[in-house]
Order: sequence, then C-alpha cells, then structure tokens
Amino acid sequence: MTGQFEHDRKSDQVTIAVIVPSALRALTQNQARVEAQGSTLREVLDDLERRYPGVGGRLRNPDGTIRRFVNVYVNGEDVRAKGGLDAALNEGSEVGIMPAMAGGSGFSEEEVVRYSRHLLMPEVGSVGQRKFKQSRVLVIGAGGLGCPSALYLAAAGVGTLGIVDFDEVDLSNLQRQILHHTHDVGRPKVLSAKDALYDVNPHVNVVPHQIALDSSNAREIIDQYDLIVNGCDNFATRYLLSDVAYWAGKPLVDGSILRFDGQATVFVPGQGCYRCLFPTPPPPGEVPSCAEAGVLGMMTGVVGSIQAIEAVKLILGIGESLAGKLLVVDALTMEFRTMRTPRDPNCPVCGDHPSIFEPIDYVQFCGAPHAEVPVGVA
Amino acid sequence: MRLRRSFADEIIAHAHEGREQDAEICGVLLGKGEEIAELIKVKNIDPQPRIRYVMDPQGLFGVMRRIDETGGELVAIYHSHPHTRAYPSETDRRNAHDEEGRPWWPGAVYLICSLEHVNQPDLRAFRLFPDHSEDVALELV
Repeated sequence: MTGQFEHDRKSDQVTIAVIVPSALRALTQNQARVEAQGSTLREVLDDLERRYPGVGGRLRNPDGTIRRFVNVYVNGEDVRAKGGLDAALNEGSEVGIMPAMAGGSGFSEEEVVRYSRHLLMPEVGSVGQRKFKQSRVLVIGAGGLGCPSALYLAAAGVGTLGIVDFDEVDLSNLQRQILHHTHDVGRPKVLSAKDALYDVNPHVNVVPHQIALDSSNAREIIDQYDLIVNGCDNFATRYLLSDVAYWAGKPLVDGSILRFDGQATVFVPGQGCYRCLFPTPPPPGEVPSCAEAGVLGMMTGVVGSIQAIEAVKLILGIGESLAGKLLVVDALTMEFRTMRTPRDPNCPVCGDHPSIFEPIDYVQFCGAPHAEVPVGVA
Repeated sequence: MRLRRSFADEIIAHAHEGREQDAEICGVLLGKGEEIAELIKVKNIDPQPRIRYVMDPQGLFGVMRRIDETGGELVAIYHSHPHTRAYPSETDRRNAHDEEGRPWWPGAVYLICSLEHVNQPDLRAFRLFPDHSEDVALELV
C-alpha cells in the first residue's frame, strides 16, 4: 500500500478518519474528527479505544458487537448491511459514528393515565401492559362477537389487532355490532371497525383484512398473529380456523351465539380442538342462523367480552383458561355452566394418530353451498 | 428555547404530511448554541410508523455530514404524534440514552408536535432523562 497514510505494525493497516458524535467528544479531547488504524472496522474501533479510552464502551456491547442504538458508517454506508465489524477498510475510507434517533413505542404519560385501571392491578401492571402492547391478536369477523372483543382488546392496548371480514355494514347489524354506526351502513366492516377502534385507542395498530377466510389464505394470515379470537358465523370457517390454528400452534378463542344462548371455549394446541368437541358438522339446515332465528343483541356483548377476557388471560398467562372446557350461557335463566371437553385421542387433526394435515374443502365438509353455509351456534 | 416561527411552521407542516400517511415524522435542527440554522427532515423507517419512529440511518448520515461540514451542533430532535398528546414516552427517554443512562445527544432538546387536535397543532419541547422528562419553555420568535 502506498500513499500519505501512516502504516502501522501490519503492512495492510491504514489510517482511517473517524467522525465522532458530540456525545463522545469529551473522550476525544473535543475533536470531531480523529484518526485510527486498521484494515477492518473491528481493528479501527479497537485502535480508537486504545487512543481514546472509554470510546469503545460507548459504541460496543461487552461482547464486542456494535450497540443497537449506534449507527456506524463506512464511506457513507451503514455497516450493518456491509459486513458489520468485518467490513473492510481501505486507504481513504471514512468511518462515521452516529447514535440512532428513535422513539415512540413505550408508554407515554398519556398511556399511563389511559391504562391506569389495568396498571393498578398486579396481575396486569406495567409488565402485563407491555405484553398487551407487544401482542398481535387476530379477530375473525367484525360482527356480533368480533365487535365487542375487538373493542375491549383495543381499549386494553393490544398492540396489533387484525380484523378479518369480507362483508359490508348492513342496517340489520346495528342492533348488536357495536363498532358500526348508522353512517357506516354500506361501508366495509373492517374499515368501519378500524375507525371505531382508533377513536377509542389511537395507539393500537389495526390491520384490516377485507377478505373471506378460506383454505387458501387462512394460514398466511394466522401466521402473522399470536392468538386468534373467532367471531365467525358459520361452521365451515369454524372448522377451518380450528384446524389451521392447531397446525400453526396458535391458541384460538372460540365463541358462538344464537337467540338467548351462547357458548365460549379456548382451543390450545394439544388440549383439544373444535373437531374433538364436534367431530362432524350438523346436517345443513338443522342449526338455524342468527339471520333465520334471531339473536339477543346483548348476548353478543356477553360472549364477545368473555372471549376478550380469555384472550387477555392467555396474553398475560394468568388464571385458568377455558381450554378443555365449554362454557354455556343461557340468558333466560342467566345460568353459566362449564363442562369438561377433553381432547379426543381419535381426533383426525389433533389426536394421537392424525389423518388430516392440511386444509380441506370446508364448505363441502359442512355440506352446503357457499352462500348458504349454516350460521350460528354449534 | 427560542425557535424561529418559520422552523416551528415547518415542523407542523411536516407533521401534517405525516398524519396524512398515518405516520409519525421526524427530523433534526442544527445550529450553534441556541441559534438554529437548519432543519433536516429524516425519513421514519419504523415498520409501525403510526406509533413509533426510527430515523433512517442513511438520513442520519446526511445529518452527520452537515454537522461535520458546518461545525454546528445538533440542537434539537423533533418528531410528531399524529394522534396523541405531545409528551415523551418511556421509549423516547430510553432511546435517548445508552444502557448506562448516558445521553446520546447531551444537551439536545426534544420537540414533539402533537396533532391530536388536528386544527390545533401542539409543539412542545423537553429535555429527556433516563427516568423522567422536563418541560422546556418554547419561545417562538
């Protein structure tokens, strides 16, 4: 190597100019530009530490890696994309050091006030509130059950809330689907829901999925989330979700309602699935839909809220979930009964000797043309 | 802190641009002492720009280059809150310091522009410490 650069002990070492941020200048005799030698970034940073003790510790972790909040540039390019500490340096190379500037994701004073009633509870607290913020929950359906579930989850500060619904808001929805308003009639439900959720909590990242969930797309969507809350209204989607959630290893909080009756349960992979509970769907037409038989509006709030409770219990890891149990609610007697629903070792999906390993044609399985899939309670 | 009204207006306009994309925006103010000479917008590359910002490292390189060229200092770091109040979060404070609580930008003022009320932009200034923040009086001149 030739040129005006001083050579050190090794012939391939050259002198490199290093631009130092203000935070480190107390350690570099107030110089904004210093020199160090080395043929790689690692050698230059090592030499910088020899010349200016203390600088290295500001830039690198104890294991020698560059700190997360430090940007290091070689000739204007971020070294993280250029081999990191092993980035090669040549004559005339310039190393720039610049602390990162970032913020936003923590709890603001506004959030501390917003979530204060949860932060007060030791079962939630700031640790649990952070779990909410980091969690990604997928709500299937922005209907009777999905609306209250999503609303409470958003209000609680769940960080990412996906909403799946292909449908538009109908006037007949407004008797129970509390995220939608009269002025939303005709709008896509996912967008109406998104607006309402943002009105309650702007910190939540609401992700609308305006699609009909089917065998071809369910896995891809579910994989983006940690937990699924099912508020769908038909058997085909219920079996689809149960199977795919099991294969994806994701807990599924299931709920259903019809007239004055409601049910809720949780399917945790390995502790039973919807097929363990109901191996085959009812014959088409045997179970009427809410559209056919009606539904008490408030019951969607009861069951949807129970689903949101089960979801936050799973996120926080507290209490005893409805996994392996089925909660049955009768609004007329106001009785809540819980029955044991163990995993079925003969289940074709989650049993000891499974025979189904990928999504099937669930519409055909449920024996109805797509437009007339039975709706309502299982 | 004294801030020329034109810089404040520029930050507020930038915040409005970000709000249209449902994103926080960010940038820096360079100068000497309290005298601000230059505003540099930096791209927010956080994957969740609605609630967070991370300044683009390449944009920060440009900032470093300007500081090096002009001999100026980083006077303030600004970002917007499209939907919430103008207060620093715990993460704002944590990210402003290294693991031992030493500031990355000693003396820098952090400006936050809130568009919680879109017609009433609220620009406020703070100094950040590892465990708290202090209001800085902002005088527009």
